[in-house]
Amino acid sequence: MKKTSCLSYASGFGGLLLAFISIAPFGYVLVSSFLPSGGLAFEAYYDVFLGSPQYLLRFWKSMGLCLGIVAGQLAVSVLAGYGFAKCPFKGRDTLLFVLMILMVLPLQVTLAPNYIMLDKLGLLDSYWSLLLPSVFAPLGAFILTQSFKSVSDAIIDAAKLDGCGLPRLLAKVVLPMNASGLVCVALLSFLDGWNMVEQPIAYLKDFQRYPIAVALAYVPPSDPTLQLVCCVLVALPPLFLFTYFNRELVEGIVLAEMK
Amino acid sequence: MKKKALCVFILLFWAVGVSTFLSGKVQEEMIPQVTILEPSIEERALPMDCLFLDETGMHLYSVYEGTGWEAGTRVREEDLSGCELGENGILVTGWNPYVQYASKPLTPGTLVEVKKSADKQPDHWLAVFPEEAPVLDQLPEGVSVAERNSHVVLLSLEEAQQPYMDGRAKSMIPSLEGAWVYSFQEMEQFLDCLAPLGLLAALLTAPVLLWACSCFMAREAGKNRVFLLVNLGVGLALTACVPLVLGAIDLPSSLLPREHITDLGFFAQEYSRFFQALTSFAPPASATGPLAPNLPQSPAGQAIIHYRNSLLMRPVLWMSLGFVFPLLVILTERGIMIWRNRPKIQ
Repeated sequence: MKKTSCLSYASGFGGLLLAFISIAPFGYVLVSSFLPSGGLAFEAYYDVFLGSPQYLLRFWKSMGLCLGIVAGQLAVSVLAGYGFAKCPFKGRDTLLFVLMILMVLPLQVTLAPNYIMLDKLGLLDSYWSLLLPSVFAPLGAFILTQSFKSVSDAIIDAAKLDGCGLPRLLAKVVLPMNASGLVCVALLSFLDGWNMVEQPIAYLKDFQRYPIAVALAYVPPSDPTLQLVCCVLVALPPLFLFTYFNRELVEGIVLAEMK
Repeated sequence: MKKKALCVFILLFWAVGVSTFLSGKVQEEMIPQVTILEPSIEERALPMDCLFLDETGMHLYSVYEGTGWEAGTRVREEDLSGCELGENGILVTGWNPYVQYASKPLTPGTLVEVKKSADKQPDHWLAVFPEEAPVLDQLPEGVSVAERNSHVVLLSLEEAQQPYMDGRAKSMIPSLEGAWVYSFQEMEQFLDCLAPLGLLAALLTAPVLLWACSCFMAREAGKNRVFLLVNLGVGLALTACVPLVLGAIDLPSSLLPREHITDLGFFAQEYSRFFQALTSFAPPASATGPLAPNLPQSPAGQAIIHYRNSLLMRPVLWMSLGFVFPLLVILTERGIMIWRNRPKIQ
């Protein structure tokens, strides 16, 4: 009994320590953005939120780009996931295996081939060069494949017997049953897009097109508080998504792992 | 947890959205307008007007094109130790375009708007001297003294270059050196902006009040879904009006603070200094009677005070709409709620 109690205290302490280590950098950023040199000051907040629109315009541009990525990624992943999960065809498992290999490849490996392809398509230095590779990223298709496998074939057959076509079947039966998987894909693709750094540097030349996460590195180092305030701004969307969709995210990942 | 997160982040994202509109306008308003001068190839001398004197000393600014986060036309401070002050002016070594006049004090790195040509309009300048006003006997053509007392002089100009620039005014009339000089054109422009500013305050207050009310309603989100959607719609509609109102605001550069537009103390100081100086022209109460209005003698001075008095309550009225309108919406919703939940006879 005593042993269990000690163990629970130790694990509690470990959890607290881990939480502290994880939260400390964010806490530091938040506190330092308000207290640049000991005293409370809003100078940098004024500069970012009122003094000039360039930070916020870039924020909304990045937001638009990420929403585009999410929409495209969901459309591609739903169709691909349904195909892999519920449509038997020759070479399906091999194709899924290739997809998994692509998924585990480091980003830097695909950077050069993507660059060549985008160059050939004439899409370099445009937002399409960030959007298209992210839309066709294999992670979403993999998660939804695993998620759709949980839908019983009997339900799908019953829906088909009732006269459901594929679009209706997806919209009315399959997708509502896999809401957490969809949210998980949406969230992960949004965060992927929001945090992308290498792709904009590789594919874009014009600084004005850089998403905020990349442009943040170019904030003049003369004012570190300004950088911290920009960090607070950049942290807002992921923070919202995690607090709002926390449960769905966990469910979606667990569901994908269970299969 | 979800509802709380949604409530908090709706306000945060709304604030970021509104800040985007506001920051665009703030940047547009705070950009100082400057005139530039390039040193001639033979002389490389600049007139003394190019030197800016403030509490930190003398400054010489040149214009450059920034890149990255600092994109746009900006000013940088030149090292004065490399320049010679001669009879012909300032002898410089560089070939950059230098700032000659600015509509407001400059700071290094500031984004500026270079004015190539200037409109000319009749204007009045009010010069407030910290000490005794000097005798202004050698005035340029088209400039006359409309009114004066011990510390304040009102000048009438047949043609004045717009926008008003302090350095240009003092270069034209050197006796004004050391005085606070205000242009009537700019002050009228400032007064014109008070009503839209009041409306803007209302447009920013109303959605916040609706948001606060919606947070309470969100406790029973299922029951109050329609009201929450109405509040959201009204809030979005009000926010969509913000750019329209911002379009109606055009603050004069010479009456804006050097660094932060939120420096309300600066506005209050300039406004009170201008009108106190103007009313100091009024004859003593013993001559006009205690109930007579405190007005200067000149028609231009009287006109601007009447104009101010006619506008004074408008911003307050517009601002109060920011409280009244959401209150009406909330009370209507509350009324509908009570009416819906009234006991019904079977």
